[in-house]
Amino acid sequence: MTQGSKSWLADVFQQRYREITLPAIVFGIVIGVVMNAAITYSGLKIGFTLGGSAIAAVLGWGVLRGLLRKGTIIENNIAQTIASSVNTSNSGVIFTVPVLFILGVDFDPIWLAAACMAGAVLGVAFIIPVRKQMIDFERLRFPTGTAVAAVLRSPGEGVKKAQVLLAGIFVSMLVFFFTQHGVLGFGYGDLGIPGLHHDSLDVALWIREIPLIGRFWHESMEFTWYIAPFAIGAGFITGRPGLVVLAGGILAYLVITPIAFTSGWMPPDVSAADAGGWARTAMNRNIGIGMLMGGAFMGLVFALPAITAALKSMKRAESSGAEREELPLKVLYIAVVLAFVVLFFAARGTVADGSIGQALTIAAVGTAWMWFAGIVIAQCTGMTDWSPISGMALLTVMICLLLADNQVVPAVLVGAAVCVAITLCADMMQDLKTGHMVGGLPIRQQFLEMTVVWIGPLVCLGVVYLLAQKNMEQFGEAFAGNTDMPAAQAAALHGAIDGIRGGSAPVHLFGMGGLMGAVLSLSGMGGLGVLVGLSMYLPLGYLLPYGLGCLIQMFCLKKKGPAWTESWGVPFAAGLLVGEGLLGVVFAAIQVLG
Amino acid sequence: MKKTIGKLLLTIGTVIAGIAAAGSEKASRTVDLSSAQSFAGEYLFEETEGLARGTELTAQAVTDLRAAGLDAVSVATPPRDQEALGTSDELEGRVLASDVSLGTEAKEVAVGRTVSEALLANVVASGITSVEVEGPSGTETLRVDDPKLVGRRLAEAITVQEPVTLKEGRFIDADVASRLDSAGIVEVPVKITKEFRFDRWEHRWWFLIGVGVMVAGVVVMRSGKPVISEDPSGATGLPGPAALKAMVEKMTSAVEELAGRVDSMSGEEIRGALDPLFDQYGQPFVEGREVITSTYGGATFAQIMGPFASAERRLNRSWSAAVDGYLEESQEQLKAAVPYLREASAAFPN
Repeated sequence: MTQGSKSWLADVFQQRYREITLPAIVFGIVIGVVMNAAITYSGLKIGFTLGGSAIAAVLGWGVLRGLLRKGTIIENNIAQTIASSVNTSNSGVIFTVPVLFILGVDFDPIWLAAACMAGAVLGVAFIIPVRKQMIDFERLRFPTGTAVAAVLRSPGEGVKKAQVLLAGIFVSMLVFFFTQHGVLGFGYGDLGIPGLHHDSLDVALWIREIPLIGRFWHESMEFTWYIAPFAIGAGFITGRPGLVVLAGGILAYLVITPIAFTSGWMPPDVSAADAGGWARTAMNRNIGIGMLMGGAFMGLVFALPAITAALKSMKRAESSGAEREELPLKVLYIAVVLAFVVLFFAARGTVADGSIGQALTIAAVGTAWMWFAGIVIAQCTGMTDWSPISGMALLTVMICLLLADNQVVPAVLVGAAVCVAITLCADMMQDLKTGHMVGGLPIRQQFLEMTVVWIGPLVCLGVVYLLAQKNMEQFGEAFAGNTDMPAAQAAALHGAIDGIRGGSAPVHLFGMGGLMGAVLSLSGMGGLGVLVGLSMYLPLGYLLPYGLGCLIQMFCLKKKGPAWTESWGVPFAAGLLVGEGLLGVVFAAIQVLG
Repeated sequence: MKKTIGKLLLTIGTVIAGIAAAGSEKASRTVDLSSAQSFAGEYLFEETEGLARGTELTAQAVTDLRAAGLDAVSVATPPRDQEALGTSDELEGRVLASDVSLGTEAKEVAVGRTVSEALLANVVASGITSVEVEGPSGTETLRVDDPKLVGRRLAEAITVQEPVTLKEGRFIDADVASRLDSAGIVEVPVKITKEFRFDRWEHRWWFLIGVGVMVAGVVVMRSGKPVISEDPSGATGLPGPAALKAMVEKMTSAVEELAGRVDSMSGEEIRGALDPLFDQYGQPFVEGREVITSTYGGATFAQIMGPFASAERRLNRSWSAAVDGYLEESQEQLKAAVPYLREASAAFPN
């Protein structure tokens, strides 16, 4: 075993191989800040958000390796790690913070910023002990992380594989290009093919035309496929386990929905065409959220022996002087204590007529929930690439409203911190998966993320504040309403908050789903409860191309074998994943710039 | 076979439980007309025997329905989705069912504000006949009926009477309740939230049956053993523990052999030697890992997979360094992988 230095910091900076460099750090921060600001803006204006790892990897390839002619594979990994960590927090902020502006309540921006920064640091810290479990033991696929690794490794994979990767990017861009009718003024819908819309294909329309079979396909059974190459790519990389996701979607949309509709469970004014949407909002989504929770909890219980073994091996490595792979556990402990303290004072400063005991409870529950929800999100992302942030935001705010006597400001403030934390959990794991595949040392990625991750919430909050200020001056409102910034995700959460405060939280559905998810996860099929729950939560339109990707991978495995599928199929799929994201940013920029 | 039956039971149970769970949100419930109780306050969920949807089940309506031969009907749940409450009633904690106008209030509109259609309507309603706006060369005064006014930015602050509306869905807290009272609002439409009642959940037994079938499926699945063979190719089921151990040992030997001569290898040669290792031993071992857990338990699994993954990461680093031309690093990392592979191999119980 390689003998590392006593100081873990020396493990971070010890290198013969160009890895942590000033160009990588500067590039990562700059790209991360620019992406964060841009995606915050587009998220508030048109609801578009993006993880950023893939873009950073491609840009880093071009800048560090192309322009500077120096960048190594693992240096580029560091650059994309930093960029994505600085960028990612916008998802958590966009979902929650604008609610405070929409409500027009007074709040202390200092505490909000402190809580979000604490959440960001905690999100990275919490994942330290879970890395081994998810990446080394469970071997979760983390499709985006795998795709980014394919991009980073492409210089060494040979010209042919690089061409395959580029082909995937090109095909993805080409297919995605014609879905952007809003910008182009033309699209697939102009082809005049029945059922083909600008960004989706209504296959149910065709099925209903098939003699004999068609009449059995009820009108309420939606079967619309979104034209989403990234979903096919993600499904391919996930493979067979992803089929469970499709199965859950079939249960929600093709079994529960038509039964609910034909049995008269829906209000009479809900048409067959709207049945899927009604069922998703009133039934399936909430059952799915419950399943996620129950499945994740049971999965955690089963994983405890392995997690305990992983923690023991970390402690042994620390005391033996062997080369460390992770940050020391004391970093986690310090981060937890610091975050708890920040959440405590944030709660203390925002809960009207609150007691010290209440603030302690909010801080303790908020910290514990952050850890659990972060693991759930990381697990979902690892298994499928989908992350149910909005569902977690809803649950978080619900719990916080309960603890804070229905007061919105502390609930949203803690909710924002938790959402930032859990998005960082998922992002860190994606980056660590990439790091594993290219040989990056986890401790270095973790250290760098912890030192820069606080930048993200500051940038994002700064943009939110500036935009709110500008809108107040221009429209008299911060977001939504008469402004040109609907802040769709926050507006949805706002609506849900009012409903929860009014007593309409579907706790019974969460409970039923939780029980089902727990039983599913008892089956021994890894993460089954989480996967089925996730699929009941997501729109079917994305699940279908995702499932197609899984089926294509299984077909390739059978016909061509694992080596071929991994060597040629994965780079192409990675290209599909990356290409849509790259072009998506361009179109988002065009839309927001008017 | 057991696993297949178990999966089937699990699937069927999930479908049954899922449908039953969804049924808890149905917008109606069935009431038994043959019972003697009063159904006042219940409303028909759909048109029934000539009575329109939403008809209250008064005594007469019930009589008419019984006369038509019906002994059960569907009623809406909740009976109404909204009700009107007086502002002296307990409003706090409720949610508005529709927009409520609180009249108008004087509001200063700051310099720089863009004149929208809505703002212009308020300006006109406030009796203002002209406003100063920013122009290409300073400020200019435009009349309120000038079509060029919309979209311009105010050059002066103005005070308008702005309508105050509480939107549908707004939560009524103490502040909102006070504003309603102050505005002289007498009655407020509030939403009636659907309460879940276990005794009224018609499908509760189906849910429990579904969960029971799921549990049975889990029991059957877990009692079945994975099809394990000692065929390392996995063609006839998963490779057995001995086959998995052999894979790790072969990989260890191969890497040891490489480590012995790596100092004389080029980056290209290192890369070319590493790729087949993953395909031949690494990937099949990873795919068969569930056998280790089911055979030896989670703790032993961790003792094997932990060092294996550490070795794997070092081999990946060796590959990357070889590509980037850092030959010394590539060689060192390849050698560094050996002890971890030995540790993984040794962790297999005898």
